[in-house]
Amino acid sequence: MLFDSFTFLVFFAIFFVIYFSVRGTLRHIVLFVASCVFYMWFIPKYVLILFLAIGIDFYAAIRIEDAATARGRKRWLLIGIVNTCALLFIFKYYNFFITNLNGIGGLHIPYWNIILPLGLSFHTFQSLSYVIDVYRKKVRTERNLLVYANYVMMFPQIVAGPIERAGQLIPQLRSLAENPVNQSDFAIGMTRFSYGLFKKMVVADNIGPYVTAVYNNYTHHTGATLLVASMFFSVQLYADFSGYSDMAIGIARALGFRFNENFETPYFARTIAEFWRRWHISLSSWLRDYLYYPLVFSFGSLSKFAMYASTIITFAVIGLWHGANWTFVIFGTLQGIYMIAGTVTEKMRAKFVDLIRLSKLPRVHHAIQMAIVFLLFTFSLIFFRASSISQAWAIIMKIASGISIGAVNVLDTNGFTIMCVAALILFASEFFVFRKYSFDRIHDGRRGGLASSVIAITSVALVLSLGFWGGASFIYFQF
Amino acid sequence: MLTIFKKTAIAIILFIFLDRILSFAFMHIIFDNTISGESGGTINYVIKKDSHPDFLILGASRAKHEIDPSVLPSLGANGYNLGINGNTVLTSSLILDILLRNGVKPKTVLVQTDLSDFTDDSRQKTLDQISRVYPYDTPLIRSYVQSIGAEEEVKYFFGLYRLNRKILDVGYNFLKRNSIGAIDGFVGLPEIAVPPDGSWAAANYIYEGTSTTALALEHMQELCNENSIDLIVVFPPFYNNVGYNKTQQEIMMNDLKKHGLKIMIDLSDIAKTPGLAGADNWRDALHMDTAGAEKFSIILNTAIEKLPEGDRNGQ
Repeated sequence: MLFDSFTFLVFFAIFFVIYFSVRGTLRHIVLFVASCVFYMWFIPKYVLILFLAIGIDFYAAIRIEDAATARGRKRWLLIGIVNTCALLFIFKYYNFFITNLNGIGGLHIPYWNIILPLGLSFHTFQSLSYVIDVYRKKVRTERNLLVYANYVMMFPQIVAGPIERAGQLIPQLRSLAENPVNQSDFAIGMTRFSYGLFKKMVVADNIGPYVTAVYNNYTHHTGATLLVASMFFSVQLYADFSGYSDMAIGIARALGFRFNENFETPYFARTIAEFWRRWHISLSSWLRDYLYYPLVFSFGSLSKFAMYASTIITFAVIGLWHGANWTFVIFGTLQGIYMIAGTVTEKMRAKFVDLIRLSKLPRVHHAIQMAIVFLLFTFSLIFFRASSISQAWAIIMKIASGISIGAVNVLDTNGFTIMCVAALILFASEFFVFRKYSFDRIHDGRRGGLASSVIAITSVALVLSLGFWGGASFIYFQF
Repeated sequence: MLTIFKKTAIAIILFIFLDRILSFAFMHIIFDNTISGESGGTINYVIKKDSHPDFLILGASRAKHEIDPSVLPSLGANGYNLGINGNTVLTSSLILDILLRNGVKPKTVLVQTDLSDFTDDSRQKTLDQISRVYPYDTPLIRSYVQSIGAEEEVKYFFGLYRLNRKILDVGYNFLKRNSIGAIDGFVGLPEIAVPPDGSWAAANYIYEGTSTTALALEHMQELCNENSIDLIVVFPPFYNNVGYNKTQQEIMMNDLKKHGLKIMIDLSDIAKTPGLAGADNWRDALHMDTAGAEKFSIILNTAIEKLPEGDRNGQ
């Protein structure tokens, strides 16, 4: 069930009425059943995999807390981690692993013909963080299976995040039974949902067909067309994923839950490091806490080498998290290289800016920095979007061979115009409004109700008049 | 919770009110005065231009780029090519219905179609076609919307949705409305040096006699009969016969006769038009260039001249 479908609207309306009509354990049951229905709408049998992951980590966490010795705690932590990672490996990375093994060893190990369960990477990471946090004594073990199941598979975030931490979400779920109806939460949530719908249907879905058409026939297109398509893909990816996050956070808010932010206008970041603090925050912070820091400390000293090596490994894992393909690993590794290069050249760049007196024009300087970050990220996304390294390389070579604005093929003039206008509206609203004000701040400010209504109504009006109603799936559903 | 429901209901009512105002204003101030472009402008042009043309040409890009009204004297001197890229006979039938409702009554309607129009009867294909004429609101369009399902009916209720993805296109054409000269709708394609790609084939086409498009063509014939209009259905050729499937074409022709279609000119086999076989007549495998289109229009005119008198509704 897609958030931007009519089916979801009907589902949510029915669920909302039932959810707020019941209290106590029944409310937990309603949320759990609704989450099952939502997830099973795609491929019903895969809910069993989800139940298995929930069962493993629920039990492992209890055993960690109940273990009398440190060794026992560590053993159950390992059991939880290994089993959860095994699920991820089997369903997501097995064929990738076999491909490489067959390639290196000249073997003929058969592949497993299986479809990746939706959102597997998201809920396995959510489960893992819970087990690790219980081990680190950061959170109390949840002994109510229904509460824990809702933590992992609560429908707004089950398919594509945000990856919520147990310490943030489980206490909210524990008090779910008494959670009163809150008109303000509902209004903020629905406003945010509408804005997410605009990002997805007006921006991402209008751009998607153009990017697909160009990338699928990249040999027939000029470097200029490929560059334009690549830049638009950056916009599409942001609008698609942050749109989904807005919808997920909005729905959760309407139900009274506070989710963490997942994006904070990342394309206005002035360095790659800042960019990654604002892009897919729930994943980057997850990997920072559970991979980067342990890696740095595992080197034994806080040397530059330890930090650089940990950075590269962490970003390579971020790439691999996205998909079982070397293209994603390159995408991630490039981010690591950008980060290190940014650190190494920081002083040199500052001197250069002073030398050319750009520091006296801060706005121009910031705009240039934002453009550079955008272009660097766009370059790495060529690997993200391409189906193979050779395709990505061919595209880069075509772009590098020369660009002429007149050689841009817009394919469909009307469609291209809509894309450009949609992207402009998105960036203008992000720059002038959402860069400075959160949905909460807008709603709580002077005439906040009116401002929220204007955002919601304008978003829905744009969806109706400019939206692409082709029912395109979300890009991050495949991860 | 009651407050939430009340406020939600108020928001929905307000939105419907706003939707009505915005769409009404756009339709009456901008859309109705737009006379070019494929989002309804060319239809408006025909409505405003002449309510009694000798003939109208309907169809897809293969009509728009291949049939020159000025080379069809057998149908009269006053004709207009209303071919729109991507249209099938389903859209053509809806356009004819819109024109008739607006008082446009041509003597002859020449509709271009192909076997491929009758091979995909998916709900999505029907939706893609009917949404092309959405700014207009007729009982026939509504009946198709109903057949698509409740979701589409809800969306169609909103005026802004009926303008979906057309606002910018219409707005642009509205701004340049004063620069439109006298035109007959025909757009010739310039020739290209690269020979067309003739590698794909229509071997997998299977004609569906109960498809929405076949029934739409039947309805078109009924509309023409009711209004004493001659309907001529034309099947143009493809370069290297890439879109031609002899067996399925014959099945289709026989079935369309059973559907009540009276006049059909089947030129889909390139062997029937040997003068068009050369690559120099083609822009791509589907579309002739201007030179090819002029030749084809002359061939079509001769074929119309040869039609038996009894086949026409005799205006």
